[in-house]
Amino acid sequence: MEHILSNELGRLIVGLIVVLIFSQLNALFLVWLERKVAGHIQLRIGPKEVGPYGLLQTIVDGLKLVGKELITPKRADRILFIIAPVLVFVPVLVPFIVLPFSKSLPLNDMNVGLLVIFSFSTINVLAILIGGWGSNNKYALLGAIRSVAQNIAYEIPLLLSVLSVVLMTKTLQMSKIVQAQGSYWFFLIQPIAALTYFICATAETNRAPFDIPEAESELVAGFHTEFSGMRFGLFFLAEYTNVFVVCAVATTLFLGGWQGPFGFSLGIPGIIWFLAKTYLLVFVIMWFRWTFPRLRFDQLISFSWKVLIPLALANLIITAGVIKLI
Amino acid sequence: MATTNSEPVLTKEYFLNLGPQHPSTHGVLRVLLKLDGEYIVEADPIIGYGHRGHEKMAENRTYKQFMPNPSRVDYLSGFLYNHGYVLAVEKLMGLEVPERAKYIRVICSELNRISSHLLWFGTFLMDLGAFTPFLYCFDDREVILDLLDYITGSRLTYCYCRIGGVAKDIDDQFIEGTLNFIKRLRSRWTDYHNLVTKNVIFIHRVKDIGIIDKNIALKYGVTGPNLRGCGVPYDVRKAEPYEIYEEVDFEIPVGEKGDIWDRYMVRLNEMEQSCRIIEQAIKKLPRGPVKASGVPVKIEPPKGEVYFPFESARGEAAFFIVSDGTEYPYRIRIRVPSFSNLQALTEVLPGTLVADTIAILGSIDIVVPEIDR
Amino acid sequence: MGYFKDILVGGWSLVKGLEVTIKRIYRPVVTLQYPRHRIEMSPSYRGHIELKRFPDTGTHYCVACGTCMRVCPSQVIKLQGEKDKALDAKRVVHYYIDFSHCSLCGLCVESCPMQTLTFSKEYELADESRWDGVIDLVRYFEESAR
Repeated sequence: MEHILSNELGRLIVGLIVVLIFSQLNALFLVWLERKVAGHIQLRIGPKEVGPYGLLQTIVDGLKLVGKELITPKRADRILFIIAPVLVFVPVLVPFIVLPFSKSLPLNDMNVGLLVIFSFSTINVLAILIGGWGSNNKYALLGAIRSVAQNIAYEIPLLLSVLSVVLMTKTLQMSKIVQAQGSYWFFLIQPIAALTYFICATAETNRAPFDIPEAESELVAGFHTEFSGMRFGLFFLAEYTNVFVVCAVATTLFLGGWQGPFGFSLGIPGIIWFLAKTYLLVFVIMWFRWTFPRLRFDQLISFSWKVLIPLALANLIITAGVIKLI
Repeated sequence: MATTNSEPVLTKEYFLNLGPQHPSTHGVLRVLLKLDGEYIVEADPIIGYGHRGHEKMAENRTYKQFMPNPSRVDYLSGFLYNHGYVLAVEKLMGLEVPERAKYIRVICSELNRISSHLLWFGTFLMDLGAFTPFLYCFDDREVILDLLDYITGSRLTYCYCRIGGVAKDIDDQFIEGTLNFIKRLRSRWTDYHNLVTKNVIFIHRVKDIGIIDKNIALKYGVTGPNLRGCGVPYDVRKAEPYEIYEEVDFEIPVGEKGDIWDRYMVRLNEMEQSCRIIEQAIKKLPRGPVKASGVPVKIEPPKGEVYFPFESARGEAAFFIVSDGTEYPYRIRIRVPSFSNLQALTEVLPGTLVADTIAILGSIDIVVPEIDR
Repeated sequence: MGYFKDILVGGWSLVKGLEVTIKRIYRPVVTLQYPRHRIEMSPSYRGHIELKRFPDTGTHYCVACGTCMRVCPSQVIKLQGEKDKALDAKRVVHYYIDFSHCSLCGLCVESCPMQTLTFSKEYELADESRWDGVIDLVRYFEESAR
């Protein structure tokens, strides 16, 4: 065992297995959490029958999805239709390799960590487009078109806000960004960037109030209208894993990663700090979903171009100026 | 490469069947949309999926036997239809109803109107993508349903009015419950306004969207909150008062432009006005019998016809009854507001986005089985 | 300036909205866990009809006059009576209702000259077959006595 772990390849393989298991369990847990949050916000209980507090409910639901027939519509583009769910699920696993859960836990603390995360999370859009186009359904196509337009609009302020942090730390390596926040967290000095990032992240993951590609009251189920069984399940799991990833990145960039507030760890291990902050942000995203109505497609884009991009750009310029002066 | 291709790339308009099975068509409405991208070029509402033949059924039933039917025409304001039908028959017979029965009917009718508007509020927000207000509204609506269940014995399709009165008297527990409900509803407004009305996303979704022009509304016979949203203060309760509406003091809330926001505000204010009517009616509630004496067992109205309009939760509804002097009505025709309100959509929808279509459809507040009857 | 004001006012409205929903998380739930908890039906709840038991005779008064059968809008009632020689009166032998077609208007209850019909408080009436809705009220009456 010692031998395998010291070996880089062995470490990666073990790590990937752990990542696979963790991301699955995490997604199942998040689905349960979503239902519980929704329930209590709406004065209901949420799942409670299967397992303690209904914790096993999502596992049972998952088993049901596995047991369902995979229906491919007659006029769908078979190849695209089949690879879309795979393509949506695989890229969301990659960021786990570089996520710094604690000081020693990033599987591979590469020096372009941030870049890896954002480049892979963009593939998600492609998968949605392929899925929507391939199902040959008008609702799905509309959802896919919306998704692409939305993501193009939101990638820019997202990256601009991240860039402000990168300018301050002068590195793309996740662990170094965390270490730079030893005494204070970055959301204190970069509140606008933090807010912009969080809004964009919500839009990036297609969560309400930016869930216009799915928009079930308009487009039935948007891009995954035609997907059944575990193919739908993969879209579903990918969405929740994605939520976790963007929140973990937000934790790394703005909330000091594995560190306690102002450098006090209070004796709690780093991984607990990291997960606690991440799940807090996940909760906030869920809280958004159960509070706000959905934006309209064109309003969303004009919001991005008229508000978020100018703010993020101004923030970036000010950051650059201040750093130059110091 | 592109330049060598002599044929220009053409965009094509396409058709989208919105419904009859779609999360936001509130039943089985089908709207055939002709789309250019996401913009609507033409919209054609296609109805008839929920036809049950209530009007035909009436011809084979006695006046009494038709009693359960009206509340099923529009199941969300069942009491109002039940009430309207009974009023129409009473007018045909020239029957005088005891005062107390009139008050009880109005109290229940207004409660039903509030419950209908609350349900609209919830489903409309659901169309806009907000789930939670729906559940909060149901929480409030549940109280009304319990109250009406307590006296009428059913929760949705009430059959409580009788020709010449009501089935049974109300008691103090009902009155107390009603007053408590009004207090509760008023305390909830701040939450509703904070959650929905003041929400910037909501405001952007509804302001200046789906404007129904006053002239178009009048041309198509749009009534109810949709017409009042356009700024026409027409309410059957004021224009042709029936029951005790002359004796209670209430206002007709009107909008300015006729956009979704106006319709929303009109309905919200209407709930408050209904509360006022209920309060006054309870205060003035006289003692006495709740059923007129001398109502014949066999109801045989004299030969003739009657058109009786009343204000349902969605607009002017009416019963047109032709009697040939027998126990069975010769013909009953029901004027339903949703039908006219829906037809105005053909003028409003072109030029809007798919997302707006859903919002407008929701704001019109249609009940599809009511249209099809 | 209007630009920034719009953003701030809009943002604040969203925060107010969030406040409304977060407060609800701590409130007690309003839903009832149905099979585990049940509520009393309201006194005027209308289930299917049943024959009323009068305490003075310990039985119902149905004389099979057929008024309910004629008044029913959905024709769900079928009944059969026979002359009881000992009592010298007609008594009901079979009283069938097809509950699956009943719209619970209550005309039968109101029109009954002997006032021996009433609404039951039964509400768990889901069944597997459409014929399960057909109930013989006389047998139901005898079974409820036991």
